[in-house]
Amino acid sequence: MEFFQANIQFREVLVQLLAFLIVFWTLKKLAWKPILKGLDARKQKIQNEFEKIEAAKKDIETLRHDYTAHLQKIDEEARAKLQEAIDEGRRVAREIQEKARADAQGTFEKAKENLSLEIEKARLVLRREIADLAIHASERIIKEKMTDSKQQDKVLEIIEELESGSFKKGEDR
Amino acid sequence: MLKPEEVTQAIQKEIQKYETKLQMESVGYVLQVGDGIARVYGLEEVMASELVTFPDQTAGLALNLEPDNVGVVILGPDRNIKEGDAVKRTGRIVEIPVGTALLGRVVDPLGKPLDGQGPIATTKTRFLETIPPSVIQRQPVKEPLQTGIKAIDAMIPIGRGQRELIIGDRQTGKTAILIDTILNQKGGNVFCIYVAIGQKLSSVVALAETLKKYGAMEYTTIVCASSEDPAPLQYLAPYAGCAMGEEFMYTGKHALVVYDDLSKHAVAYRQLSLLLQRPPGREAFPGDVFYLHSRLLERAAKLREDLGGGTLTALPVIETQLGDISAYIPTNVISITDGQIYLESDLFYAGVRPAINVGLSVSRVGGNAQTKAMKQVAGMLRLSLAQYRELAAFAQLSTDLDKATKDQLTRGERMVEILKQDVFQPLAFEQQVIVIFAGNEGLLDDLPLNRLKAFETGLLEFVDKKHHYVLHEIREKKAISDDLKKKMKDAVNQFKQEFT
Amino acid sequence: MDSKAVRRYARALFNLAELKTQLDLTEKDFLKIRQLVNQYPEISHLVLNSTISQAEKEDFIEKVFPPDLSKLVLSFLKALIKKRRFKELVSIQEEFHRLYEKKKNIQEVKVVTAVSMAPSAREKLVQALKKKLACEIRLMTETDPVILGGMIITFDGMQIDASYKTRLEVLRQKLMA
Repeated sequence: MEFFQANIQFREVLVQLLAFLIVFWTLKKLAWKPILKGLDARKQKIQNEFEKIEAAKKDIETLRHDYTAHLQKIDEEARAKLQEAIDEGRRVAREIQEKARADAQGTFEKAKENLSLEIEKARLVLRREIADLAIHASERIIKEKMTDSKQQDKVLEIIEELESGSFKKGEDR
Repeated sequence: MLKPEEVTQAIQKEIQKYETKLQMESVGYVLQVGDGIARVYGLEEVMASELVTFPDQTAGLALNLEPDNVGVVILGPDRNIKEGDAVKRTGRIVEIPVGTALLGRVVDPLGKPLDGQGPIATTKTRFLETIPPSVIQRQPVKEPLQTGIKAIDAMIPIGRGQRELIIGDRQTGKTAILIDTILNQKGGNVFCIYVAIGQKLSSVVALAETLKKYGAMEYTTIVCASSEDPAPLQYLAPYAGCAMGEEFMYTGKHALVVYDDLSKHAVAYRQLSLLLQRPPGREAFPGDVFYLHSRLLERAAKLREDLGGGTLTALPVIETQLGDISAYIPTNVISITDGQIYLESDLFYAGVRPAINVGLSVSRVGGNAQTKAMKQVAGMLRLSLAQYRELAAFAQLSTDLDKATKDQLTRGERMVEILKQDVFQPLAFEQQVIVIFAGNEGLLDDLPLNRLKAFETGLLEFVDKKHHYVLHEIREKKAISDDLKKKMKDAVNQFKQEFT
Repeated sequence: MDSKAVRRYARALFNLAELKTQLDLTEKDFLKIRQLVNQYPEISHLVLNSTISQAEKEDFIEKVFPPDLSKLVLSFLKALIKKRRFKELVSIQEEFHRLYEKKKNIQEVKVVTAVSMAPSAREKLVQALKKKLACEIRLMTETDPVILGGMIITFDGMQIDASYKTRLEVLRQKLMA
């Protein structure tokens, strides 16, 4: 206790207090505000940063949503295109099948036609050969069977036809 | 099936029906015979171009009706005809059997089979000489006849119902074009008739073998009047072929008749006329040599829809001497046909085969007979080739060329290269479109010239295997949408990567 | 054969003969001349030989042919020789004969039968033809077994073929197709 009673002079303390108050007021006037302002500004800035981060977080969220939605769409589109290609391929395959079937049918028809043609040809050849034989046979028979009297009769017959009929001009071979 | 009783019954009926009536006919007697011509005395009432018969059943055509005798050309060998033989009128004009029974056969101009495969089993016949369809009966040509040759289908397209002349010196590939066109009709609906006039018999046989090998005989008939046949038969051969084609045309089908060649036809007719003592005209040809060809070629047409819409396309061939297309017969036929394809020996020996001179060749039907797809790729081809040719001539002189010119030259060279084609290898139209498209888009510009051929073959194989839908779409839609264009480009680029 | 010339000469002779009303005589004599010339080919050889003079040829003609030959025919022959047309003699005679027959309204008809016709048949045929063709008929018959039967009647560029051979041929053609 004596330390304090010996060292603390009331006048010193008052001067110190005064000096302190002067310093305090001066500081308050000069430095306090700017410092407070500075602190405020920092506080504000930090707040702003926080808000920005929040906003950015939200953006990221929406972006991510969009992204996934987009990916889904692409997926769907790809699937649809694949399906289309498959359908197309199937269609082409079907068409090729149809064509092959039509071709086969065509070949079958042609074969049938060919067959009937061959038959016609064979019929024609047969007919010609028979006709040839028939005519030859008739010639031989006539040569043998025509006696003189028969010849004369025939001649008379023709003459009678000549007299009666009007022989027409022209040919109908 | 074949029943012999049917046949014998039919014959019996015929015999019973046969009545003998006395008939009076006009007869004549042969005054002199030689060189395939017989002078006949009598035959007072015979008509011009009437068929007459000699005692050995050879037929003759009464062509010269003179005051005191008739000039008859003998349609066959004159070995068994003597002076004094009786000649009878038949009252008919020349006709031949026609119809589908003729497909795959080789016949002479009178319809007799030459291939030893049995008789021609058909009942329908047509006259050799008929009046062509009138103006009212026709409609404009609008369907393409695909020849399978890139140069022709792209720049000188032929339509169904058109007459296109193929003209060039000997050994320039005229017959090769005809064969390729016939081969390309496989699987189509066009019946082909090849008329061989005055050719070597061995050539005709070789041709028949080729057609058989590629399966083309199923829809082709060959009418053969080779150089050993008498001139009257060579004279009649083209008309016989035309009559066969007309049968298809008038029944609503499509036919292609090919006359190889009309120069020899004119020569045969000249021989006939001179022996009949008709006055000779220019180059000793008779005065009506134009009519000879015009009445033949006018019978090719496209009929109106209500008459069946059938077509008959004619491809006559003329052989020039030393490229002289201003001689008598070539100028005649050029003025009759709807366009011509010039084949030049220079191009042939320079390696451009088919040796078609694109600048001088023309098709008057042109774009109307092209599919839209082909028009899209080949529309400017003719022009660009012409420009390239001019440029190439100029570029030979100067060595320093700017880039644009160099590019044009490269493009032109490549286009000329892809238009070359081997014989007996006709291309389907969608394949042609792809190849020309590749050239047009400049996708070939960076490939070396000597590898282009291999590229082309490879490309077609590749597209057929891996991108068949492209060919399919071209074939079905016959037009190139932008989408298809992209697909085609992709396909070609893909193959290019594999190729290099 | 130069048919125009033949016709002209024949017509000339015909007209002259007609004028002189010597048609029958000319026809007879001309025919005789033709037969003679055919029988003795030396006549033609001599006349057609160009080294012998015209006068000698005419002389020869007068001597070689029978003296009772009509003057007209003789002059005609000489004219022929002068115009160097003697080699057409046969054709001219045929043409003259044709004109003669036409004038006389005679039609020459050739009949071919397989065996020779009985005379009665011949007569009948001549009558029938006469009625049909309204003119005189000069019938020439021939037999040819090749025709197998029936007959073939030919006249003036027309023919009636009633032979078996031809009928068989026609039948065969019909059956062939």
